[in-house]
Amino acid sequence: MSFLKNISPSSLTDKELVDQYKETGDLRLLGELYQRYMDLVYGVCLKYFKDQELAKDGVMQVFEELIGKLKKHEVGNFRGWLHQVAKNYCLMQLRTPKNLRTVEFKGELVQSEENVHLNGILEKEENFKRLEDCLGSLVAQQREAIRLFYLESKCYDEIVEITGQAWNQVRSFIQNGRRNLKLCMEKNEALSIDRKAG
Amino acid sequence: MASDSNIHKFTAEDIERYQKGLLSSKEKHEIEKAALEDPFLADAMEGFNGSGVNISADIVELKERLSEKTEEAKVIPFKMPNRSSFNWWKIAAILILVAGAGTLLYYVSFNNKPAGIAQEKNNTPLVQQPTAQDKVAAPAIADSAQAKKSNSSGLIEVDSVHYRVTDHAVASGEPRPDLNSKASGKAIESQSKSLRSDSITTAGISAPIADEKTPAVALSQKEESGKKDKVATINKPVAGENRDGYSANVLRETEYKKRASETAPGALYQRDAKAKIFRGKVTDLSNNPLPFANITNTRDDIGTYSDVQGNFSLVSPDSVLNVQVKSVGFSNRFLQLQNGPGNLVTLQEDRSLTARILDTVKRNTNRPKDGYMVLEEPEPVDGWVNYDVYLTNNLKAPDRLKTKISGGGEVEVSFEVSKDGEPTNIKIEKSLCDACDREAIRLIREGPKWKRKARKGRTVVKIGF
Repeated sequence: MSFLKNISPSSLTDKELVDQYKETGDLRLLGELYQRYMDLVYGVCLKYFKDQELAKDGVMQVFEELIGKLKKHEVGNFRGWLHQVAKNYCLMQLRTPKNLRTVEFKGELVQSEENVHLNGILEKEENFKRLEDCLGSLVAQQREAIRLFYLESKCYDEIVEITGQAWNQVRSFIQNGRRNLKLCMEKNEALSIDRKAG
Repeated sequence: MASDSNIHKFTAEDIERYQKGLLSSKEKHEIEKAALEDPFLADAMEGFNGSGVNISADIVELKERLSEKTEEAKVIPFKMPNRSSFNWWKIAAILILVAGAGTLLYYVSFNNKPAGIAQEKNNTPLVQQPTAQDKVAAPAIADSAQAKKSNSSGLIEVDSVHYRVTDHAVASGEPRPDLNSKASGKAIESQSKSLRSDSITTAGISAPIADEKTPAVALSQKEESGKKDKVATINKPVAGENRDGYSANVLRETEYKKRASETAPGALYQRDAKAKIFRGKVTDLSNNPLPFANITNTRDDIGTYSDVQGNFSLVSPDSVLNVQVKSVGFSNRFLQLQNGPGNLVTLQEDRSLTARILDTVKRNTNRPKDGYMVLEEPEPVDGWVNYDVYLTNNLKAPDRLKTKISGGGEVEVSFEVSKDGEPTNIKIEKSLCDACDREAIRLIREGPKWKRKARKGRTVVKIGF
């Protein structure tokens, strides 16, 4: 593995860095890996703590946790796993009663946690028809938002301008629309499989 | 994963610009689309949405902290043990301090015991003293007595333990150089004058001692007093307390003791039976107690005064005591006391005298009462009226005075009161004559106890001669 040392860590993939760290325990490797996602970890911490100092401390604390956890666990997707570790850390911190805050909960504005990859599905041509059908089944606002966002590649702000709806609402429509489409597509896919079979 | 490298990695900076509206619509769309796919990015964007401050600077700071950590990786393992061991040091130090303080306290309290033991030790030689050969004992005492003849102060410095303890029993009197072994007691008595200043303290010592060992003490005192039949035991009643118990032995010093001491040269050799206690109560005809009445043994002029309830006690080797009992406003009475309690002495009112001397008696009762003095001035426990009675009853005016000064004069004495109610820091404010002054001081010293109101309160007492 000596040749790898000559290669700067920044050119290695996440996985490669993880493996090397597991072997050598060299913190600099972990540091390099972490730097790639530090921004996002910081953002996540900001989201939960709503406080810059706490968030900054959180970022460092998560790194501390990584030192041990990465050695212990099998990590396939480092990015996703890191996200989860960061979220868990933030939630644990928030569990102290004094940190609990009551925030108004708007059900329709909650973002979907699903890690839905529609890229593959959308690109398949045979699904376009299905997609058209499913789009038709959507609630009007959701359909419109989806169409504007995906088919016309508009950004949220533009859609806000066009539809006159609130930014949060637009985002919510898009997310829910996506989910519904996915469900619809899966259902249709199952049905089509049945039809093909039958 | 291949897709990893395909995904455009949005940085915090990108997000910041997105928040600030610095991205083009297309760019915005891109990041939004990515956020829909990537919850991690979505979360981060949500976090940045709320902060609003300089995010880039924070990121720079974080990068620095991270590199610090990764470079100093090896330092980290040592920090934890240091913290815990430091705590151990703290705990150990605290334990040692507490243990040290505890032992100190223990030793301090321990040291209090020896003092008590010492006192008792003082007693035992005293008791044994009489059992030894008087001949041997006496010269020693006589010598020491003579040696200290001139020592008018600090007699407490006398090193012989027994001597010190016996001090309280010694009657006063002039030194007699020709006293030899027989007069050991007298010699001691002769020192009494100088002991004046110490009588109170000795009385203090003697009081508890007497309670425990009065018979023995009385015995030894008797021996050393050199008198055949008398023991210089003077009851010093504590005002307010009913000391029916065995009396403490207080040294009485007057010049008249000299006379007394002259009368019984061979007394020391006479060992009578153990001391007898004569107790009684002085009342008027209606059975009202007469406080601070004077009871004096006619033979040696040693006496005592009754307490505020009229109770008194005297100790003597004799089985009967001839005493004179007097109280102002009443006729003096001579009677014989029997050994034991129950000597009831009733005095008859002397109406002829009362009117005349009434004013002179109330010398101190009629005192000026301006605000300051009343607040801070100490006062007798049994009150000024009784105190005046005490003074009048127990005054032993020097002979010379009577011849020199007619009409009588006054000595003014001022003093403070100690915690225990004893007069301290006694000063003559107005002098009459040396002997008068001394008698005045004696009266105050041996008199009833005081009650103090302020720590440094001072009072003035007038004593008429």
